Amino acid sequence: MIELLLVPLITTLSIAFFIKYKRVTWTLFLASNGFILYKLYSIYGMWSLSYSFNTGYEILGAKFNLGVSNNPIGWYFAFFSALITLIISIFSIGFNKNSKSNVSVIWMLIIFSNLGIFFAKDWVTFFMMWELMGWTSFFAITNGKDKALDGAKYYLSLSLFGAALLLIAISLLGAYTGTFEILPSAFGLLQIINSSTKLGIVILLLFLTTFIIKSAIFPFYMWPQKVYAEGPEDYITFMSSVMIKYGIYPMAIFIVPVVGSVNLPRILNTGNVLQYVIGYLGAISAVLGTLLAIFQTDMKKLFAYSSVSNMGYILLGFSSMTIVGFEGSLFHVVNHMILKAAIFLTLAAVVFRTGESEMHKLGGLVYRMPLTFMTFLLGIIAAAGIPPLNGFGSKWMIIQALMSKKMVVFAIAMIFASTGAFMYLFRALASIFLGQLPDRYKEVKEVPLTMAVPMFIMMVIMLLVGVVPGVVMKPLTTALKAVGYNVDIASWTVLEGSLKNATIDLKIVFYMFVAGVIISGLMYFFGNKSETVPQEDNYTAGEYPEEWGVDADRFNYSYSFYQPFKEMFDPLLESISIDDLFASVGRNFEYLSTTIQGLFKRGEGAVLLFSIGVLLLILGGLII
Amino acid sequence: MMAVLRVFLFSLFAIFIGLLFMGIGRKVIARIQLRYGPPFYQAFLDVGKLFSRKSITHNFVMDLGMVMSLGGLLATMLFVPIAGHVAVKTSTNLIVIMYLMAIGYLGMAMAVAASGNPNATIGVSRALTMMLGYEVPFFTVMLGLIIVNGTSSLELISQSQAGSILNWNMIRFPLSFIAAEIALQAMMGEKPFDAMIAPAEIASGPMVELSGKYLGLAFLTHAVSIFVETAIIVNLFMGGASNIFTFVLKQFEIYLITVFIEAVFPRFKIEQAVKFLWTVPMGIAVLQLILILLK
Repeated sequence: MIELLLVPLITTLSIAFFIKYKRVTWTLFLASNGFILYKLYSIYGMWSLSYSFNTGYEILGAKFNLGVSNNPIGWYFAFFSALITLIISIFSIGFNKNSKSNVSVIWMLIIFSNLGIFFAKDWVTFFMMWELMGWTSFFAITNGKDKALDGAKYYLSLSLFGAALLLIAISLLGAYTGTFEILPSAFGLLQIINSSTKLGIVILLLFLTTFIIKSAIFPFYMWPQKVYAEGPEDYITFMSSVMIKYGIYPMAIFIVPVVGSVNLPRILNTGNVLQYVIGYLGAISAVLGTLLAIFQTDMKKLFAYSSVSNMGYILLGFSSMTIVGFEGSLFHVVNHMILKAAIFLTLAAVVFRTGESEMHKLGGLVYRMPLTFMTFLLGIIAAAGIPPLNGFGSKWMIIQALMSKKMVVFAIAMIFASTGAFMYLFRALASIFLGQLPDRYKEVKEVPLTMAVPMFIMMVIMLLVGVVPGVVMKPLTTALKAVGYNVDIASWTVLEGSLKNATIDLKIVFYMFVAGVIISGLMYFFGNKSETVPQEDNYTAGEYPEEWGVDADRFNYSYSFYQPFKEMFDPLLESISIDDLFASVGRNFEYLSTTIQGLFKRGEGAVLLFSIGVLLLILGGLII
Repeated sequence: MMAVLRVFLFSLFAIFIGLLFMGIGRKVIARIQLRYGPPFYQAFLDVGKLFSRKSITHNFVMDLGMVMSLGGLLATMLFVPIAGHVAVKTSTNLIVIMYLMAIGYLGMAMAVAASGNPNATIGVSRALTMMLGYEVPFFTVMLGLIIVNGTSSLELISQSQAGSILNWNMIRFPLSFIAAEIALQAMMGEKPFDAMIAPAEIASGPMVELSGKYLGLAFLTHAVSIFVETAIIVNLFMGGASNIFTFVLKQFEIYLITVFIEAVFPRFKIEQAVKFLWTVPMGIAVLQLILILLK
């Protein structure tokens, strides 16, 4: 168990030693990720593995021990994130061939904290790893670029805010339950809520706020777009697929069991108040993320908002508090990891070849990068939740759970978000890869082999998980059973819903799709021959532009793709801007602090403060 | 072997009925507008002609997209129960049907965007906006029926209305039916919701660069989508049917309503259409949903 944590640390040190030699560092990085994946695979099922270190101290009446243990749900998160990380690290070898700075050393440290978070046995270890992840990602995002500093600072301050809340929450929990261990403290928190409801709910909300900050849920949905737009693309792939799930994992092991079994007032006989709090956070994130994604012009920002929306789905699944919804959410965690990694790898490839991330400046890249296009196409089909690719099964389960619980508002929000997803996903596809190729990208080539192989692997995984969801659902249900949930081990291709007669066999869906394509393919081949002509042929209506003394012009419809739709939403989106709220809070703090600073600087202020202090002292003395 | 045969038969049947409806629809519109109109089998002649002509394409995405679009809709059709028969044994889940239909539209959108004509892309952008417009009220309608029946299987919902005509959801939940009808009008892209085609404005939008068999495939896709959408409505609101003839007759009734509306209405601008869909049908659907939840 402990070597799982030691290997990344040792790798970090050796990468730092060889930092000048780019090939060595990335090879070490790849090898270490390979080892981690292998090791995780080998400890599957050994749920009693643990390692702890007793300090013998007591803080706030609770034993202060550090420990890691093979938690089944943690294993599920860790294994699939290790798999994705391994694939990204193959990509990184090719991607970083010409880059000046080297992100691998910090990244390895983040992978260490990644494993630490997923396997932490107690809140103290969890907090340490959480903090490590927070400040290291600051350096990984900036990566020596001044431009990235703003986004990274924003992320860092949110992380620090979250960490402060987490520290308060952990101390309160330790003081009132007498333990720092995660699972016993969940039972402890339940008892606190039952005896003194207000205190318990405050502790729970403190935890919840920390976690939703990391997962970019509604009031904190701004950081992904700031960070993803500037960070190094391969690291951003890791961040958008794996790191954004750090908030989801503690929610799944701590918040969901507590909220699911707590006895609070219920709304319309469907769910308790806290369930609705989680649900509304999820629903607002899903809808708002979708709307904002529709209006972006930068492709990385677009997919950043798409991540916000997907985190919203996961919270919606949690809010149903049924086993189908819970399974669906955890399934969606892995699906989102896979499809977001695939999409961001292709974006990284596009940026690698063209150096451009504004969508309207690209176009027609399918002629030059067909493999990248295919990966992106499968990625967006998966992200839109269309069978037979992954992403459908988990969304289907979440909707089933919401419908069976009669949570109609959440179900409608979910459908709104996933139909809106077609809009922004297609817009990205059309603007980046379709349309007409600008002259300046005539010389663009397909990506090199080290980058093509990971993309191909991602395509295979997306199709595999889409048709045979058992490869994810079997480990998931095994893990849930090991934790104590009453679930059946899932079969390879069949998904169980929660309504009557709701079982779908994704294998049959796939066969039917293939049958449909074969029939329409036959029609295509029976039809008369077709001829491939350049786009200008049709476009100039058979005339030669040169004869008219003009040049063939290129038009792509991609800048304000949904202008009429945007005009409908402009008033709404202008009125809710979380950034303005944060900025005004920041301004007020700044004002307060400069005022206090000013008091210190001037003589009369110091005298004033001194007299106030003396007065308070005297008053305090009198009261006591 | 039997399954393969069934899949083929169902597909051909859907294409045949869809094309027949399209032809009759054109005739009906012509008579409403006091024209003579083409013969009812005109759509078959059109498709035959288009497939026999030479055509041009711009890249492999166009070919792939057109094949994917008809393939996706045919796959959707195989999940819809037709008078109690389904091509293969499945649970005919409504959510699966709704999502599978999207792959057809995605394929079509991809193919026409690859043609590189801005008019086509404008058409697609409008079509996707419209999709968000109608999908939300239509899902709200479905949600009500799913909650009443406690199942999302289309076949079970249609069986639950067996017996007399009074059991039909059309009679039991008239508000839902009205909302679904309006959403259906938008789903089929008929007037007043045809901003994505708008021949006078953007030169038929998505169809602008399609020729020969590509246009033929687009025709067939439209035919199958008519079949699928009317079949969903018949199953949801008119209790399915005991034999195929009654089923097709009911489908035709539904199609006729859309054709009548198509023949006399002008066109909404896209934002007007979305606003209308989110206020009138959505309001009606939500009202019915609240009534269902309170019951």
